[in-house]
Amino acid sequence: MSEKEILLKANGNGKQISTKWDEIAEQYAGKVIAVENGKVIGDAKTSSELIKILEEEKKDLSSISIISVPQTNVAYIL
Amino acid sequence: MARIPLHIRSWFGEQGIFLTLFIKGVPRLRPVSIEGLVDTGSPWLALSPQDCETLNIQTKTLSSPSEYINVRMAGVKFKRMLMENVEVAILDEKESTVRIKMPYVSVLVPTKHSEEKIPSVVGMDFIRCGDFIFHYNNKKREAYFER
Repeated sequence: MSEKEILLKANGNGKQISTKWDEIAEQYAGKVIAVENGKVIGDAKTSSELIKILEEEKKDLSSISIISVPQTNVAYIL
Repeated sequence: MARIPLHIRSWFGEQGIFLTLFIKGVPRLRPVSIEGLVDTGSPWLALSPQDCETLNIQTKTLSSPSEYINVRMAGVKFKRMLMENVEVAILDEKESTVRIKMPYVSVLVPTKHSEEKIPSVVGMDFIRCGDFIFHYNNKKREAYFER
C-alpha cells in the first residue's frame, strides 16, 4: 500500500471515529484500539500487544489506525 | 494554497484537534500512520511511547538532544530523544500529499513504567517547518492548517 493510500485510509478512520468518540472513549478507556474502515476491530493494553494480535490475524497494518484512548478518571493537561 | 483538514473530537469535555500523519525517511519504521494532538503549548512534534511502539522505533538508535533532555507531559516524566532528518507526510483537502521536512522529531521515552495513554503531540516546530497557518473555529467545529 502506498503512503497516500495509507494516509487516505487513516484519515477516513480518524474522521469516522471522531463522530462517535464519546462512545469509544467510554468503552475502551485506557486501551489501545485498532480501527479499520471506521470500525474498532481490536483492542489491547499496549500497542505492542495489539500489533502482535493483528499480525497473528494476518491483518494488513497499513490499512489500520492504532489509537490510544485516554483513561476516564484523569484528564491530561499537556 | 493547500488546506489540511484536522479531526475534531471530544477531549475531556472540550474539543481536541488531531492530525493524521505518516513518518518516513527513517529506516525500519513500520509503515503505518499515527495521530497527533495539535498542541500549540508544545514546542515540538513529539511521539508518545505508544506511537513509538506502533512505528517500531528503536529508541537506542536515536540521538540525545543538547538541551531539554528531560520533559514533563501531563505530569509524567520522559527523557527526550531525537529522530533525525525526518519527512512527515500529510494529506490536504484535495487528497494530495504534503511533505514536511524536519531536522528532527522528538521521541518521548518513559523514565518509569506508566499506564497513561498520552497522545503524540503536534507542536510549534511542525507548524514552523510546514510554514502553516493554524485555523480553529470552535463554533463551526472546524480546524485546519493552511499554507
